[in-house]
Amino acid sequence: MNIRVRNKKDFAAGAMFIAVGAVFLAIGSEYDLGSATSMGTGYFPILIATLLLVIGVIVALASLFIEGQGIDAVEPQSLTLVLGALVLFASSLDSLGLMLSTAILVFVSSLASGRFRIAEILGSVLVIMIFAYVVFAYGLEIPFKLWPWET
Amino acid sequence: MELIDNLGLGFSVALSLVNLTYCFFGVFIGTLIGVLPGIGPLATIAMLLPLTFGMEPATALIMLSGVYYGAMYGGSTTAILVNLPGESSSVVTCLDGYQMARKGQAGKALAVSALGSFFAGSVATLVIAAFAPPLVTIAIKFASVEYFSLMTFGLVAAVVLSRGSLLKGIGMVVMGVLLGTVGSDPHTATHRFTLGFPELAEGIGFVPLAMGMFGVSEVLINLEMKDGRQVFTDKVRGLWLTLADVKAAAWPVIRGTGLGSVLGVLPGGGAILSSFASYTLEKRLAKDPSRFGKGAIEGVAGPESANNAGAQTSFIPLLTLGVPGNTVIAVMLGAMILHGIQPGPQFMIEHPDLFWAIIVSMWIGNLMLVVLNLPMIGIWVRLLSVPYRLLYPAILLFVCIGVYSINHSVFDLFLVPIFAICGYLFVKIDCDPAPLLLGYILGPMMEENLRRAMLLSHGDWTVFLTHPISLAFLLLSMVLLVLVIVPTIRSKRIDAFTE
Repeated sequence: MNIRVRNKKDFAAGAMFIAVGAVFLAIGSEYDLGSATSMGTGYFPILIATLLLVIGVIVALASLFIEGQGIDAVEPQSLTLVLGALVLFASSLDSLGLMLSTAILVFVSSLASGRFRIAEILGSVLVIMIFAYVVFAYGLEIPFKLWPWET
Repeated sequence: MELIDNLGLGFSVALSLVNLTYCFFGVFIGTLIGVLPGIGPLATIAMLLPLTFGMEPATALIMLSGVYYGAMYGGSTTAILVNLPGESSSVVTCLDGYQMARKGQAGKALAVSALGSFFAGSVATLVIAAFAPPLVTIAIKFASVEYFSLMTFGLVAAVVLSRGSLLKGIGMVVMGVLLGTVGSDPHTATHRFTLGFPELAEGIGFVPLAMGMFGVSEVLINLEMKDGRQVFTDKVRGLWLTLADVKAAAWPVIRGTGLGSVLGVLPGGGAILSSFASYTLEKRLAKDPSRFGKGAIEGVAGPESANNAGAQTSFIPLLTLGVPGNTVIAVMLGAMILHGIQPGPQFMIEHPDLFWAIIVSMWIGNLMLVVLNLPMIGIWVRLLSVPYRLLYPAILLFVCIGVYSINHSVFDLFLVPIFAICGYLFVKIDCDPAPLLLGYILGPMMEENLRRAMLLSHGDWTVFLTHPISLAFLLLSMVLLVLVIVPTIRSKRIDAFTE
């Protein structure tokens, strides 16, 4: 019989379950297991991880036999820009303060839509910076470091 | 009568200026995000959570619940005017609501939707007020065994109602439970799966997980869909209903309310299930079913009432049992815990003022919403013309600030993109992240109950079958699973979602 991956989505899902289950099993086996009556740290996680592993195997196996759709293409540009913007925000918040981090976040993530003009992006950055200041720093008084020169 | 006393207690708390203000704030934001596609009550409530820290628990919960049922109202507006469901529960409203708009009857659709929702909201409030106390008296007898089985039933129900295949849904739930074990072992406080990160000692933050997996991933997915939107922004006239309209809509509203009230209580139930069920019912009962899909007022009246009733009654399991029935309610549970309230049957007994204030404020919120929605339609409509590319950077900022403000932890901020890419990939492989969130929230509670149950039974696993209530929940779970596996039901499930 011809064995091939008929359902790519399910195969990926099954692989994911197997991977996650295996990782938790590996780490979890180092913890104290205990017994059913007196459960240790590792008892419940290992139980669940095993269950996940089994489900993963079933899903992956089924995907070899049952037809399904392929996975839609992934668009790396907008992904990297948005996720990158978030990472940049997180990295710069403590050093550069809220205002500049916000500017970076808005600027980089706006590029992801692919339909922007620079003037529009800069305008958006300004508006959102003002909004952030008014609502979060002034209105809700969340203690942020606002600018790089503050401590 | 005790009911009147309880409602009176609720009003005395809910009618304070602070609570009224935040109730308004909540339903306003709810309507706003309901109108805007691309951001839903789940993400919004999670985002607003950190902002509620300074508030009294009553105020916080009143505001957050306002966001949920407010979104039901807002979602209808977009569905009718743009043929885009602002909320998943408004998908059905698109079918006939948009057609009514095309025939120039947008005003009628909006009016019937708002008034039907108000009726449903009022009735649902009474339902909760009437049924919660007896439920609590039953639930208070629940022990660990019953709770474990109840939660299992809740998770199974969540899977059954999720997108994608049943098996993958179960996998997602299990994975969620597994993620919930990260942190400290509840019994001995040993660090588990923390990979050396002290920030993970309290577990993976609930807000970063929810925001990343639902909020940001939503943005990522929306950015991929580059289709333009056609908005029906011509002046919405005629917000009046003729007597004929009222006659036509009356029974669907009543039936929708009833359906929503019942289905909302079930685990996995809530607004979405109720609206779908109502549409199917109305179509089946109509004298001329062919009118449906072409602008039948019943197709708007029924589902709109149902989704409101469903949204409100889905609070019942939360308030009486302490077990969330769907993901939005799960977030509300998180909110309660964050405010130091222990959810469960004792909640009503220990905090009656808070309990009844929440229930009463739902009705107050509904009243505010009818006022907000009918006259202010023009404003909401204009909002719809704001292009998404201007909105989403602001959404991302709200997410970041919200996440950061919980623990002032940059680590949490880094978790967001990690979960965002996970959420995005999940959608790509047709795995619904909602069951994962539910599993993650219920997981620790289930572990605790399982441990206690086993301790008390000295390791005897059959105890789940020998306790009658527990057996009932487990049997119900089996029944649900079987019902889904049977092909005809399964195709109906897919039909409901693709229609």
